[in-house]
Amino acid sequence: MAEAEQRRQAPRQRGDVWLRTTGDENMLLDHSGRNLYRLNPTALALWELCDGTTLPEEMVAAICTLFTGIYDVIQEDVERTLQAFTRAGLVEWQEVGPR
Amino acid sequence: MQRPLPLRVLLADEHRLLRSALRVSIDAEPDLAVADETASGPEAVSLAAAIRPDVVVLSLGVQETGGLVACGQIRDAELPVRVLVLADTADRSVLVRAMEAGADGFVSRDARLEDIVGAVRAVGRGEASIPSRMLGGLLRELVLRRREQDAVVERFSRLSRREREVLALLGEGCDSTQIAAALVISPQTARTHVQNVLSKLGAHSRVEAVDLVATYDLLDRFPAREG
Repeated sequence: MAEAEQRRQAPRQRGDVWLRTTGDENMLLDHSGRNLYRLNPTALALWELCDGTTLPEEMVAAICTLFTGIYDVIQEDVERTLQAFTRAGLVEWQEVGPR
Repeated sequence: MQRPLPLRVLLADEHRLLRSALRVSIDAEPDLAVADETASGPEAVSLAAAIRPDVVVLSLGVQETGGLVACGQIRDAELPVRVLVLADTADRSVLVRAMEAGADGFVSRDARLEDIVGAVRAVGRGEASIPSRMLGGLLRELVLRRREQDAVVERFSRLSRREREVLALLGEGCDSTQIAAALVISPQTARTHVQNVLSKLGAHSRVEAVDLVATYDLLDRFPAREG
């Protein structure tokens, strides 16, 4: 997907993906019911932001507010996580209109 | 090889019993040491300046000022210390206020002692220690606040130079008559400017307009343009 097109697209949790929390462990069960994905705390937080309206750059900016670190590094981490969600079929991307 | 010096911790909590329990737990760790303790907010700030601990464990309920004010004062003094806020409950609104006051970490009293000690260590290492189950909610809050700020800034950018002058005078408590005198314009023109300012900012009152300016530091961040 071209970068320009992706800029105003936000990830949204697929409705047939389930979050399971057992103690301190958080896992996503995909639509097939056969694949489990373990989430670390940051991935869990990003998953919770996948609401179809929050842009990746907004996620990066919020994380940068909390954690000292180079913007580019945090951006890479966020993009890597969202790409992993996408490849695993856990999220769908949708257009976000101007605010 | 010489062992690294332990992280020095200042305990600031209104409850002596908790301070004692934390002191025992922290001093038992080879990489941590309690440098001092206090129940007072102002004393926490002065001790932070005097002894320069690596981490201040700061209860929101410290005496006299409360922890949020004390945290803000530590930040305003630009002290090279990290602040771990200790709250009664893991409440998101409290967490947001603590982070906005400049806290580097947040932990609730109902956490296990070893988790509090772990949070001290994490904050001392330069990490932002936040309960993992609260991180998503906190990030969402930050996203929403950023959007709100961007919207306010966009509305403010529509003000003309004259309107910003009027807004600055409103911030000084001037009424329309005083604004007119200061800007050498008629009272009617002054009132029109005030109404335009409120309309462009989306404010329902002068108080609300002034509050927006103060909250987002608009006049200092965005100097006037011609218009």
